[in-house]
Amino acid sequence: MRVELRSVTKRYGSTIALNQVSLNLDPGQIVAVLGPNGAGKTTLLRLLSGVSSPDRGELWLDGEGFDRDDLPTRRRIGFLPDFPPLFPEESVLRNLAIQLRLYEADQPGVEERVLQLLEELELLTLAEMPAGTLSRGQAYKTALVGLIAADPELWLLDEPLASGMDPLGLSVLRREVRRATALGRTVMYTTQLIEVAEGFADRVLVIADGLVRAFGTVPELQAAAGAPEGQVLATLFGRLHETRL
Amino acid sequence: MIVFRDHQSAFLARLRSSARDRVRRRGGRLRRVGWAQLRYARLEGFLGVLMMAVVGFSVGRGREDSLEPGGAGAVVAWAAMFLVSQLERHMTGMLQYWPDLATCLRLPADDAWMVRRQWWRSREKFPLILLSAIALTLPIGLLASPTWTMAGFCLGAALVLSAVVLALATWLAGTNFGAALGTVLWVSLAVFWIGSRVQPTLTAWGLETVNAYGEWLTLILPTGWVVRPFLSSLNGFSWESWTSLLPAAVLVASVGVALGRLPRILRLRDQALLMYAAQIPEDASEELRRQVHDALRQAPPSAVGVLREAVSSRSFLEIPSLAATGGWLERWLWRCWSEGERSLATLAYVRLPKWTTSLGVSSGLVVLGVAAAAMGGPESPRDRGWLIVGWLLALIALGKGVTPIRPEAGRLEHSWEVGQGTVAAVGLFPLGLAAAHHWALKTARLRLLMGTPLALLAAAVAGWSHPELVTLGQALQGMLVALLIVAGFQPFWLAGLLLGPDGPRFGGRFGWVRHGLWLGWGLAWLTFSGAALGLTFWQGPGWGLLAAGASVATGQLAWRWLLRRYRRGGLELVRPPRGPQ
Repeated sequence: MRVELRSVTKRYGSTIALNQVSLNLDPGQIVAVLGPNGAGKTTLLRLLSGVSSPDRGELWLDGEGFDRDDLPTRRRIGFLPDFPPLFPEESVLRNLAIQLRLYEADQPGVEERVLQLLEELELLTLAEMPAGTLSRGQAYKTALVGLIAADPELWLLDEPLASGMDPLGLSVLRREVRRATALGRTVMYTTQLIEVAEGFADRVLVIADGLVRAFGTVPELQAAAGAPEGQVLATLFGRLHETRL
Repeated sequence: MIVFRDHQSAFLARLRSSARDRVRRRGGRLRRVGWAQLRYARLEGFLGVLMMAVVGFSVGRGREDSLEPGGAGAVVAWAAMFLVSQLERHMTGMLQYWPDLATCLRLPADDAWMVRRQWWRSREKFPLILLSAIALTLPIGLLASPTWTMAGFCLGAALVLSAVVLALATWLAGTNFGAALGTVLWVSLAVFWIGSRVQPTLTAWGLETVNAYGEWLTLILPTGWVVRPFLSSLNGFSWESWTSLLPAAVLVASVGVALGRLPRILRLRDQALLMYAAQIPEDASEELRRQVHDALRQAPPSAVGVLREAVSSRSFLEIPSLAATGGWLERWLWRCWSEGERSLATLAYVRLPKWTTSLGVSSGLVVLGVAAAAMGGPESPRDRGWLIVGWLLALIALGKGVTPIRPEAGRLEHSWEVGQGTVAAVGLFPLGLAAAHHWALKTARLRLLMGTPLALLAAAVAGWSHPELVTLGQALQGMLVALLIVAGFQPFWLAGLLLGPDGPRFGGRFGWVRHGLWLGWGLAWLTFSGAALGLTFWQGPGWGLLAAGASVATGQLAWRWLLRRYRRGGLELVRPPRGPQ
């Protein structure tokens, strides 16, 4: 999915969470949104998912203005917040069934995918447990299975690496993100870990104080920042902090 | 050296004994939910003592003039039923919310043992029940004959009455009848009190009725089985009345049977699941979750093979027809919904609300109310009493079953704590606000449509039976006005539910202007509705219908305006966290 933000501004009271942000994301890319706390990373994902709305500016998806009440459009977007929304009294399987039905992704063949993921993520034995009794990591994994099985065109993951998932979950996440982008999906995730963004993204969006500070591939950023290899984002981060101080 | 294996009975016996010792040492304080429910239990107990003392004195004095023996028995038996309800609620709370439930589920303590132990713990309430029973019987006895012998007799009667109360409460604990008993008792008391303030003749009617049918009531109510011989003994011994102690004795002796069926009714493991699922806070530690999880995993899980089959056969994706377990109204609604709306219904409800039952109960109440009202008339205080009771019954019924008071949106109202805010379901799932609203509105209106004949029937009988007060046409039009006002409010109400607990929240630089406009819409609806009611009463329902129609139109216009704001991104679905930032 092609995503375009045109001069998007978002305020919370007197705080400017995003300020005149313009972006173009091409399909089939992994975009890491990197920034310190309060930079506006989550706000960006919320705007793209329709949870929040811009005060100014426009959002375009595949060349069309974003209507968040348009169900077909909403089904093309998958948003996984840091605390996954599951119905606590429903079982893991029932939560997945609800999610797949809402995404109209319950077509034949999806069951194999779900079964494979449940087994890989060690959730099969918990499949009948109410989601409210799962640990945070298990709940995130459950929501992740739903997202992967629903396979939307735009994946929006908020802090997936701080979601409480074990290394097994993280490795499945990485593999599935790669697979999805190979199929033309766009994946955007937020993180505060420089090394993760550097190693697991086609493009990195560095954001701070609601402003886009840098956006490009790691080599592009390296050329722009003039930093030694392996220290590009660290250098950029360092400059941000210097600016703030 | 003895090596215990988990399948050896000696090992299980030792573990069970250890579990019992452990939980015996722990206090009986209730967990949060139970505490919230029962924190005023002691205060309620003392108020119960006071209430019984008031009833005891009133009946003791009333026996000399206005109350006949049957009437006095009925009043005392009815009052004692409040004690049953009080103890039943306490018992249910103790059985469902207690700190050692998870521990006992994790350890091999069987459900029957847990229930008996917790039932026994609810005895802390018993002294107050006994005190209340004494406060009920002692004034009656002493006002009849102020002697030490009578005091002793009254204490004995109070003890027997308390035993019956305990037995009955045990039978009712955890059942719908227990909950219904409390509702019936308190609603009837409130209705009678309010009614007698509005129409003083209701008290006279109440006295006449209770004197006329009191004997029957003491035979029907189990507390009456003790009250009958007690009151009759005040006028001299009579074998006939003492025979009613036999069923009371059977009831008390059956406590063991009642206890035996409690584990089945309470379904402790299900309760534990819901209790913990509801109680685990979002920021709970992993350790706590693991403990709960471990405790609950003691419930036998399906074999992995069965789960694998459930997934690979796609049976987990099948949405069960919610109507399959419902009544005709649920089935009818299911048929009326489109495929997409059924998906929304399965998301919104674990099981459908019992609309048929609700409508049935309301219909029954309306019929009873209409029958009671038809018996009455303005001629005598007794007739007027019937009239008032009848119409109060009908009003309660309409309020319960016809007006869409209960949330039609079900779990679509649910919101989640996500990051630094709360987000409604329409924000997190691919749910269209318009689609969800349309479905909920359709459901509410179909139910309203089903209830309309009931409301019109009540109005028609009012117009037909009391033409001196209102004509048939006026009564029907008046009821239509009321229904239209309810229909007009639905868009506001549902929009509030679907967009989060505080209603619509407008974003953007001029959000406060939009918020003011939304309030303006609400004010317009309120004005038209108020005007509709006022015009109906003072100018006739014809003008009221016009104003009610305007209130419906206002609701519709307000909703369309809100939806346009939503589509254009003018509505915020994230609510900032509460409390200091």
